[in-house]
Amino acid sequence: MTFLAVRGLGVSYGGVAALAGVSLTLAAGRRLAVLGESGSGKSTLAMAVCGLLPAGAVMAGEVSFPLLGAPVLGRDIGVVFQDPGGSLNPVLTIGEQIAEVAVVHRGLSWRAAAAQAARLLDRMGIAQATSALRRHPHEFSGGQRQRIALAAALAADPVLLVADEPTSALDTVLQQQLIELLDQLVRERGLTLLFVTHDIALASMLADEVAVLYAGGLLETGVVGTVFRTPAHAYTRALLAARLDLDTPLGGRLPEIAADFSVVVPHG
Amino acid sequence: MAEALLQVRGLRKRFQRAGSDVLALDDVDLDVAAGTTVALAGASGSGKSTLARCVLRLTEPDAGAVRFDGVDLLGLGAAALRARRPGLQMVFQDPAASFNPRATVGRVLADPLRVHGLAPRTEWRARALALLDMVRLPGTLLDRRPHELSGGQQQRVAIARALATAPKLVVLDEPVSALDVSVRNAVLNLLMDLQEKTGVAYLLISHDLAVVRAVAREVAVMEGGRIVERGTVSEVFAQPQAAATRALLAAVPRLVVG
Repeated sequence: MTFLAVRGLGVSYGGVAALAGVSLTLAAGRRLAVLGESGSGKSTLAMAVCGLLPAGAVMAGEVSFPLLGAPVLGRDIGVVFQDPGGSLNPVLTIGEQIAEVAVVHRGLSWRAAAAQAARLLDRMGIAQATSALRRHPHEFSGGQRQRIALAAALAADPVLLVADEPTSALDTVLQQQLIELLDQLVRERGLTLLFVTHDIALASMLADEVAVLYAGGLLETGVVGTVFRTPAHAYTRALLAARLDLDTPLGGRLPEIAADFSVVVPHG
Repeated sequence: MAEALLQVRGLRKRFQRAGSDVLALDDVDLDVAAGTTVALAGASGSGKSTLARCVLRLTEPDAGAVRFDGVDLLGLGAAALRARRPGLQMVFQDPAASFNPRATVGRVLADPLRVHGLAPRTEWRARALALLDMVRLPGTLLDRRPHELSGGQQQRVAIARALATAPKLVVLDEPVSALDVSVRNAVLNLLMDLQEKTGVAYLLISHDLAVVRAVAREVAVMEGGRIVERGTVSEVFAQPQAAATRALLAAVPRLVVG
């Protein structure tokens, strides 16, 4: 069943196109990785799905949710961003911020919402969750703040989670822990996931499907295994050939991606 | 054996944070030989950036010694330290934040020459052009401002600026983690080429062991302000002894094609 349908989506800012002609669908309960580098339009696509495009953005085409009708951000869609500082208010306690989501969107009493916030924080691996509720964002590390932002995003029990480069500001160890947590939460809660990333390996670890964006256009989309085993586009092939991990052959220079997406290994 | 280019001995640094003491560096020893790359790996808060800042004397350590090119840096006064600065440079994670936003690329590259009196004004433009060429950027960027450049181009300008003073050691603090994956390898290749060409040594700070493995021969792994493991990259990666090393290795993302 189609959960999300994007048809002919275009977004431009001040006459400059950030995204053009993007069409894709996502079934309920599936996980989509939107893969691209800076300027690819991947965050613009995620923000258009959330209805969070900035004022002045001109949108063409359509984003629809056949099962939900008109989803409410915060209630039906939870969002986490790259920088948790951007989604947490520095002057409120984290308990107020997490609980408010459930009070506003689910009509919980503050007492019930606070109890739920403590359970959520505990699930996110924040120690001494009940007393943590009374603390402010700056009292936590970057990795903890991202977990707190995730708790706030899930507090109203949304059906769609949009995670926009949630690990880019974290070191690899914290990144791995957050990816595992996301994987568990999506499974436990039966969430549909839209995961924005520039990292082809992270996309393969977390998602069922992938949409590869480049310079505002959708190059290819499909099931992760299919796209990464038999990539249709030269750019996807180049990303696969030039990825840097613990299996990258050593001894010479690293493979570089040229402007025409060919991959060359220069001589050292 | 000759003394290493950089010799760090018994370095200690304590910070006060939220009323409690944090031992950011706990008796750290580290050597970097001339012309080589040593990686300092660790998770956030392990102390690796504090160590780099103490080496550059951007932070004053509480105890220990930093000898660079035969001179005790911690014993130097301001003027003597400034005279040593050209030999010891740094490239930061976020190049955009390290530039004067109003300066042109030419000005960014001429600044070290001017500050250290390394070339007369009449030569600045030619030297800046030569530096751009060295990092494989076109000379047409000379009159542009850094914010008009892509992230990869900005980091190349930052590398060119660091090399303007012909340093013997450059501290690379997460030099590619803010860059798109498609340009990371080219920047890492450039760093390796420049080392071959100029004989510069690198102290590479990174939490990403895939980057460490690609460019460094030796690695020291930090956790809780201490170096918990060190050796050649091939040895340490094949048989990691410390829990911190194993965690960093396990955390490198792997392509999973089910």
